[in-house]
Amino acid sequence: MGRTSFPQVSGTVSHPLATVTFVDVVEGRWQVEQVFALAPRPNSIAAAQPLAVPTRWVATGCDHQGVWGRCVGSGAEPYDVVVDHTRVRMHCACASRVRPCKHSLALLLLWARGQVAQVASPSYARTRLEGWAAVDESSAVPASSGPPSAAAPAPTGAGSAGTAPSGTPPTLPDPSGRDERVARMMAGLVELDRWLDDRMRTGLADPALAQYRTWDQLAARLVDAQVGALSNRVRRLAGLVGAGPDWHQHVLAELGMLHLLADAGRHLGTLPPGLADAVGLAIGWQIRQADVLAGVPSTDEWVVMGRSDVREDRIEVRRTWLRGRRSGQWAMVLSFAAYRQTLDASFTVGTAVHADLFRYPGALALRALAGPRHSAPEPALDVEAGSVAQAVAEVGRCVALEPWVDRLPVCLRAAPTRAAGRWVLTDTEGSLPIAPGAPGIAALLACSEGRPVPVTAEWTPYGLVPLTVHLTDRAVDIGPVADSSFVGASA
Amino acid sequence: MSPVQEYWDQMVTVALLGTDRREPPAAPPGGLADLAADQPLPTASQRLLQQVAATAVVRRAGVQPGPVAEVVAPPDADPRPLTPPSATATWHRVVSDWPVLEDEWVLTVVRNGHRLAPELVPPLLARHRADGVRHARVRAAAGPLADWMISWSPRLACTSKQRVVPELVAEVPELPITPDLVGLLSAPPARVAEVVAGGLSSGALAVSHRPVLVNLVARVQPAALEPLAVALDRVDPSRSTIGIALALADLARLRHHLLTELEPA
Repeated sequence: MGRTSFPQVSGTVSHPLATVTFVDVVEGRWQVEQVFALAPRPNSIAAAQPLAVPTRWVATGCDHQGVWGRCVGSGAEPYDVVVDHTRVRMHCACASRVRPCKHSLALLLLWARGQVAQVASPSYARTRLEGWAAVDESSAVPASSGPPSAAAPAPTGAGSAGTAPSGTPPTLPDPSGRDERVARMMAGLVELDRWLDDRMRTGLADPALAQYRTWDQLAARLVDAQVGALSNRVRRLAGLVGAGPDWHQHVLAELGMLHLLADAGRHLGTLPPGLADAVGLAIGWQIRQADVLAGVPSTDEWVVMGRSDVREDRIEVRRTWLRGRRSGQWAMVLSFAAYRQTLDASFTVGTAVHADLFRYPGALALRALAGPRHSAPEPALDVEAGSVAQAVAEVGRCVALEPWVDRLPVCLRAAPTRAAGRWVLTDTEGSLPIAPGAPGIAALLACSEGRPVPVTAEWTPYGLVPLTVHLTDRAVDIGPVADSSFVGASA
Repeated sequence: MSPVQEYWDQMVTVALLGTDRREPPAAPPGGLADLAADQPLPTASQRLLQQVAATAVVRRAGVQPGPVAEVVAPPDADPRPLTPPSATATWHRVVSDWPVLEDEWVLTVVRNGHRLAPELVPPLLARHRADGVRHARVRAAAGPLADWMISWSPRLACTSKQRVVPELVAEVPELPITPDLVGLLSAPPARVAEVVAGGLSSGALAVSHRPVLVNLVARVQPAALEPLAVALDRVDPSRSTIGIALALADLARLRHHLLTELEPA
């Protein structure tokens, strides 16, 4: 197979990680620095490096036009990756909004290091490469040619599969309708912000706010715009109207959070990667479980610290809060049940299990999927509990990372008591209010008998929701329980 | 009051009235004012929305512990051993599947010298607040913790005006059983198994007998429970009474379990 000589390039690549001068290309193969220059974000290369090893790839190959391979994640379908290195086009089957993704960069790094053999292209790569060539021939706009240089800045933000790094529009039709979906989401976010603006203009005393229809219509439009998570948030917000004497404050703060998300969602491409992922999840960007399971697992002795069931519209949501014994990191596994379906009861509060968890991306990255479990659950009675001040500091740190977060886990040693007409958890440094109407207050009081005990709770903007009392001989699950007439038999 | 809190309160007032009627307040010096200066917005409603979002984040991220609160005095000590954790699970099963056993479960706790696990005290007090006898029974099982809990949570107090007779508290209530079966309450275990399982097999006892059979199993002497469960398992599966036979076997086993589980150590 003959090799096409790569156009010789000289110049300087400016990159947030380094400024690299390169002068030549050997036999068409790129230099590592040229791959670096493609990175859309400072940490893209850092994310790609662990994947740029032959053990993470199968069926790699290259020829005069392209490089291809299948990136193997843990337990998921491998991603097909194809790169046209002559015209700098890439395709990866992953769902990342950032292009080039870490898989494409990793394949290029592998190739640049001479770890990809020249072989005949498989059908999926040949089809992709020929498709790009055919489009080029029929298109009046030529694709960018040659490897990246200082004159070809790397793109940022959302892009479809096959986006050229020079910023040219996608050259292949988007088979998944991704662009259409992004446009619909953006329109939905704009509409949401306009609606919020109207609320500010007319005021919260507007009688329309007391009608559920007002909120329901907005929520329905957000569902149509495929920002389902915001729709859920709006429905929850509707329940705050008129609930308690301070409802105006709570509703106003939540409207502020919606504005924050609507604004951030419209500027996803300009946000740092972790924050962009968190915003994407918070507005309802779907991430396939297979993609999450393709990530690197967090393996630890996971202590099941608490459980909380909450009805959200027509779905019962179970949050199971886990904390790694070694890492000390929190994680949250979600389970959903519609009417008469069952919630996941495989995690028992007060036990620990050696398992893999796969985290969703995000600034906090609390949400995770449970992977393989390497041991049977064992009782976990000795938990580390901090002070009220430590819990507050941790909540502040997390809220600063993801301001719209409305539930965070804390484990603190404190005593339940009454202060200023409401229940609080107190220690010798301070106190934190318990959410009014939290179902576990009586059980917490009975189990503690008014003494300081380790308590796992969910922090919410309205106060703590006690989930678990960790006694010396057992953990007592006192978290909110799903209505048994709604869900099926669940623990 | 902190400047941020004061600013927030002013914004709540403006948000209630709407910016069509009132201008948003000026942000206090600092980050919020900087934000307003860096991102000037054309309309009052947009400015308010921007400041509401930013201030809500500041308030949540900057949450501070409240003042130290005085802890409550604990209840008087109760030297009785707690019911074992497995008994808590048994109580949940009794309540959901065979509530006819609940009176006996609570009385067994008291008679065998246990005290209720604390996590069961609030739900049991709340469950029986309208029944003076049962509420008194729960208080006996819970010890000083019950009155202490009621003092902190008055909704757990008994609402019944009925006078509580101590004899009723100390005994399981009688359940209606037909005269032809009442003799089985004190009959030898083998005889109980023979009559009940045999009757269901032969058709002498039918589905219509279910309520009295449940009452019988709930009150029959404990020694008869195991043989009865075994005999009920052997009822011909093709008989129409197989469903009630299996249900009664489950009831017999659960009752046997709760009685043995709560035996004094």
